[in-house]
Amino acid sequence: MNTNHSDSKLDALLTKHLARDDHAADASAARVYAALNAKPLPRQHRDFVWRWPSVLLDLDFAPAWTRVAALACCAALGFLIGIAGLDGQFDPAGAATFASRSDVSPIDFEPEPLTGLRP
Amino acid sequence: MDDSDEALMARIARGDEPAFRVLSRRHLPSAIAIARRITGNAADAEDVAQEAMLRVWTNAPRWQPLASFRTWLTRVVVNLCLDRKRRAPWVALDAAGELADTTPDAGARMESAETDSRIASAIAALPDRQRAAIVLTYHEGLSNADAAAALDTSVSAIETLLVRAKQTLRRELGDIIGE
Repeated sequence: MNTNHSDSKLDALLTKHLARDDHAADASAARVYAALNAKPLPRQHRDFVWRWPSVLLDLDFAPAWTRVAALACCAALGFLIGIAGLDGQFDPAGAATFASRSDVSPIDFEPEPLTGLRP
Repeated sequence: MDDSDEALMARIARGDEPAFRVLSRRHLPSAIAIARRITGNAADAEDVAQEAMLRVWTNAPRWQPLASFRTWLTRVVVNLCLDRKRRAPWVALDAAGELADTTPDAGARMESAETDSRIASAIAALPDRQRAAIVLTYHEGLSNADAAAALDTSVSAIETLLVRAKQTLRRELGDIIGE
């Protein structure tokens, strides 16, 4: 009973003491608010997908978006051409198959094995 | 326009600086008051409040409204205060005392000021987490569950902190509370 009584008195004392008006806090709040507004806010923590344009800006490497788009198109076209292989044949199905030149002379000048005739 | 804390945080997450100013103006006084009660130092309290608001800004895109914004901000402020207290010794707000008052009722007011000073000193002498629990419960009026969330601990741990803190305070302030 006595403990409960002193508990409630202590509760009341702490509540009264800690609930005092803190006028200094208002002045402090005004100072902190002014300090927050005085300089630019830092960069927010975002995923890399949203962050990389600002990283480019920080590095002074931020070309105009039209040029970036043109560059990206050229890169994509070059990649596709590389994959398709312009240096290959356009019509591989209709191309004749050649044996090497070194095989031709014996075929032309050797006699027929069965009849002995020369070409 | 919805200007609840959560709506403002959604706007801040998109980089809306005016929304951040509204939220700062709304919560800075209470953040500073908590920090002053825990650190016992007005200059530290201002630094803590400023750092806390900058963390609100930088972490807004990743903030999830799992708890109320106020509870989250209180948690940030308390953690910053405890971090700072690990680095610097505590200085009581009322340690400097007050000038002599010669107006009528000066005696009663001096007695009241002395009582306040003793209570402040007793709270200042508590261990950090016990003091934080007392401030959150009696200054902020948080429930045990909210205080536990702010201190990143369990409800039973908060109850233990409060019991131990009150045992110490009852011992220190026994003559004031009439024990």
